[in-house]
Amino acid sequence: MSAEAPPLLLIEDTPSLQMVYEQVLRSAGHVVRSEATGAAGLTAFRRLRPGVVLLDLMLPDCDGLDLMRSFLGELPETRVIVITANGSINKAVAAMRAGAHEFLVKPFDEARLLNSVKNALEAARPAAASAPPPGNGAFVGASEAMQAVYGKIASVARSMATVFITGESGTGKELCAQAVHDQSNRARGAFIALNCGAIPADLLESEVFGHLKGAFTGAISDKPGAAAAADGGTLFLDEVCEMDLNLQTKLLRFLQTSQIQPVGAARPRKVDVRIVCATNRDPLEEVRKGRFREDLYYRLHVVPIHMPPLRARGTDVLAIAEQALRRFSAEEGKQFEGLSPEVADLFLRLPWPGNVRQLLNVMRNVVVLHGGPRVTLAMLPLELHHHAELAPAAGAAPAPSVTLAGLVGKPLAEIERLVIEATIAQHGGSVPRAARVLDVSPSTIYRKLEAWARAG
Amino acid sequence: MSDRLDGTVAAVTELLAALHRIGEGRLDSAEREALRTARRLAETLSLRLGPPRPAQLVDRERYLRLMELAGPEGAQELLDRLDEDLRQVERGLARGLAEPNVAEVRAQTHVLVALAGAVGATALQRLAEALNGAAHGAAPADMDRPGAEGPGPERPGPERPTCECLAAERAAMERLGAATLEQLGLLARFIAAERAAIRTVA
Repeated sequence: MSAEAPPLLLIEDTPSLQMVYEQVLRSAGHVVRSEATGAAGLTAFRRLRPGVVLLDLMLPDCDGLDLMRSFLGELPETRVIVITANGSINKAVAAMRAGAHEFLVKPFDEARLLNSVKNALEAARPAAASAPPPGNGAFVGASEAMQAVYGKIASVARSMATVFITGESGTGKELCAQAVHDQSNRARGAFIALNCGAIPADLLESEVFGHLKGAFTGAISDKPGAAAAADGGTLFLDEVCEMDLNLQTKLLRFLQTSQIQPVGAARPRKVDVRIVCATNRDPLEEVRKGRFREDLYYRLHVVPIHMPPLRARGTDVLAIAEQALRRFSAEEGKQFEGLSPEVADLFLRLPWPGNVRQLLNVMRNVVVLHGGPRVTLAMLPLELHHHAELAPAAGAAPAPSVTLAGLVGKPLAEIERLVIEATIAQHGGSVPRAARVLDVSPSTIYRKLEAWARAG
Repeated sequence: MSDRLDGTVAAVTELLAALHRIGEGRLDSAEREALRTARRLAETLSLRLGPPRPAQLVDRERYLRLMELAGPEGAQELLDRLDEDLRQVERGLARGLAEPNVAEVRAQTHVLVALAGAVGATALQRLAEALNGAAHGAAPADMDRPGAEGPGPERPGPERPTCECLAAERAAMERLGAATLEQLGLLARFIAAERAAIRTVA
């Protein structure tokens, strides 16, 4: 390992043991920084942003597990090797469930320590480098914002830590949850998605935890809930902030005990489920407004992943559009080859309030209604042109160049042309914005522009 | 003491540690009684055999590797730190056993297990593990208290030891504590002697 590589951070409060571990690591060429307390460890962590942390769980000033949660909350891709003594196995297991990479039981020998660090560094490396999209091909785009998402998915997938996905509607939160599941070591288990906002509050408990026959009117047979169906796999709770407060209490208990009690059941039963949840709201704001339990928020918000809006993903919008165009063309038997430069330019400027979902709908609309081979501005749905009006103009609008006095006495066709050209110029060359002002379809203006061009 | 006897001392210490790692929670009363008898016999045997000789206090190969890793410059500092840590554990353990304060005994043995293991003092490591196990058994009510974690057997069963049982565990803790302190003193003296030797050479 080179001296430029991020150092390992060792947090161990017994001075001689700290030195022993340091020497073993340095003898193998690692750069290591040591601290003896949780507070100093956290400060060093924030400054160094190490790829791997060796953490003694028993520290004089804080609980090692809480410290690890802080690390993973700030930098989920960090690999934390927990160091513990023989009997704190329960704590080590809790640490693994909270996202520790590995645990070492003291005393451990040189080879064991070096091997653990080597594995952790190897696991940390892909996340630090340019991360590829998750393997299922669902994600398209290589923007910096998405690289960070791919890196986080790769880092958290193999831990049991709860993942809290936030992001605007249409940004791909469920795809992200599925990717976390697919890359985890429970990928062979079920991925059960439940939309908490789509199910009536009085049915949601039964949907999550199940019910027994006769538990309530209409319970004509036993029903295993989503939590039981996800046993050994992942339970994805979408729109979790929509969940009824009473059910939030039950969800919290479930997260604390890993036990479910179907409606009407006398006894709870244990399930092994990883929770991934998502919301398009600001969860902290929901906590402040009293609509979301604070303790549940902290229980769920272990590793947050924020899905960036499409407008913040740069040229990803073009990659997604081109890929969707090929796919929809094949499905619809059309011959589309790509986007015209004007469409590409427009796509890059649009705010995309509906994000990827909106873009896919636009591409489907274009493919279904037109024949190709290139997507032109005239093929785009009208509402997209309206959005385009709100998009920032490339330059400041020039002052009107056409005055009423200048128009009087000219033929109507020429007046029309002068007004249209002046309006386009006033809107920075944007035909859609000019069309909006003139209350006509952009395609009308494009047709006229083509005709004037042909006429010279 | 012959090499054969050295091996016996090590084996009995291992046996004692293993017996203390067995939790009583899921045992019925007859099994529990049998386990306690086995522990008492192992402790008696251990005390009769006496502490290990200084020569077998540490695994020589492991200790030398540690010094090799530290290098000529780091060895002095490492021995200084080891000396200080061992003395600190010795003081804390003696205090914990005298009061008695089982939380202190657990905390100190937690560190001692790692320290002894690091220098290759396997017999002391096993004794510290056994003492830690006995300390857990001696105050089960403390086990769930924050900060009371430490090495020791898992005791998942619902059954809690009786007062009689607690008294037996405390007696075991005292016996093991005495043996651990004795060996800890030997290791501390060994480290102090090594430290002095290195200082002289330097």
